[in-house]
Amino acid sequence: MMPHMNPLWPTRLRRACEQVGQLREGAARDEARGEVWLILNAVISRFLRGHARTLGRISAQDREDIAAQKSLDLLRRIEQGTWDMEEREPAEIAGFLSQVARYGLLDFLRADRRRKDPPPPREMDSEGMSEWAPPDDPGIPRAPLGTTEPPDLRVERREYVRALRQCVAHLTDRARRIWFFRVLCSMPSKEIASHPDVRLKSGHVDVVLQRARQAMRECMEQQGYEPRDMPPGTFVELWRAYRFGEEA
Amino acid sequence: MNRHSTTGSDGSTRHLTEDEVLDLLQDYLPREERERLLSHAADCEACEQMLRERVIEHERLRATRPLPATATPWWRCLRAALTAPAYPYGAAAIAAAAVLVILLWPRGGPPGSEQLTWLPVTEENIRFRWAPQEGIDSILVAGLEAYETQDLERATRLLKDASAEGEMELIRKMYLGSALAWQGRYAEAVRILSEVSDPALPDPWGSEARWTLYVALRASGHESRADSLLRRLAEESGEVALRAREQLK
Repeated sequence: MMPHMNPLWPTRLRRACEQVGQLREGAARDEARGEVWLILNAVISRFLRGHARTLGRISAQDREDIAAQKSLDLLRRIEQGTWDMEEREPAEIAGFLSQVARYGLLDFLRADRRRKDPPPPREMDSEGMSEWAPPDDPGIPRAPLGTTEPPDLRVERREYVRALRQCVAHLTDRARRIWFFRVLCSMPSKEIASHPDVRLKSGHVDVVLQRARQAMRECMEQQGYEPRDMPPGTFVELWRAYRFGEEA
Repeated sequence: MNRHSTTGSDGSTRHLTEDEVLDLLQDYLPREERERLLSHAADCEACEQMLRERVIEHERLRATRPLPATATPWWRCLRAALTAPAYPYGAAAIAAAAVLVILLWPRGGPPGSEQLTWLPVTEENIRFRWAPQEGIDSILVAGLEAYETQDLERATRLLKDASAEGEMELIRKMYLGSALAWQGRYAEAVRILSEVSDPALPDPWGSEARWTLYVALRASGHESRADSLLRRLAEESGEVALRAREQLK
């Protein structure tokens, strides 16, 4: 199997930006704007996490604020035609967004009087994709996995997840989403209520959630499972079903 | 070695990267690649945790920070209205004004400021710290931002220092005049606003600028000019005209 080498998001971001610039107002353009918005936020937030390790820690809320503001700035420039990514290499795009995050963080820290002396900017290596992340953004160490899950535990986990998925399948689409957002994403009712896939009043979310939890508890008990912490791997399997509608 | 571990370009075993998780979240990957990564994540607690954190961020972003309907700064709306053909004060200006609010909060100010109103700014509290706007003086942008936050001394200083041409010069003078008036510097406000009191300026900016000029004229002792302008304002239509008519009663 070929390993996944180059990230695809820079190319997709570039294409979505081109669509924003070219399309007339309408659903297709809105969709492209939405895609640009989500990618920019995610990428800038990711670089902020990395830069914060050396420049200065910030709260998750501050990181979200900075990412949203920088994303909005860039989206404006894209819409106004003052910044486009045409003919830019993917590594250039990533490097640029890393710098956007870096300066956004420095601005924030300066305003917050918590600024540290930043390290000098590092040259981007457009050849090696390993250079995409800033040096202080190693993410999860790329070391070999040290442990292997025992086969019996893996079977047990798979059985548990299979039962859970069967029970989730009995929920309505909306109840399933609400259950997923609360139980697996720990989102508060207010946020769930305003999610574009839900759009309910907060009180209604609580009612749906209570019923969904009750239904899940009864369903799992019928299959012989007691309430307990979900075993490792459960989130991935349920997210796979939620996001892609498929089983492992 | 984990059965589902991913393989690096050098053949070594490694965990999911941030780039891979981002591609997963956006559903950019071919099914086979996606399956390989998800299978690894299901068996790898650290990777599952990272995926979970990014999923939560992604869904929270969708829930709490929907993409703004327009990404155009408020002063760009005005600029667009000013640059459209034949003084575009029809649909374009109305559409732009629709997203704006006129902030009419009375507050403690200099003598004579009781009747002052703020020139329109957007509801959104947006800063423009990072991106210098092409062709527009960054000092002017900073000055407009300072006005938006009612930092009047800073707004005045920056708007005085800023350089602008064409329609941006009109914008600069309007907001500078307003900032001066709010500080009780009526004579200076009169001088500046007199240069931009063209009745053809789009509303609500134009009418609010003329109202500010009226207040400044009255407060600086130019009674006859103030009366004359008030009568003209009362003959117009809209919020400012109603205000002027009320004043004439």
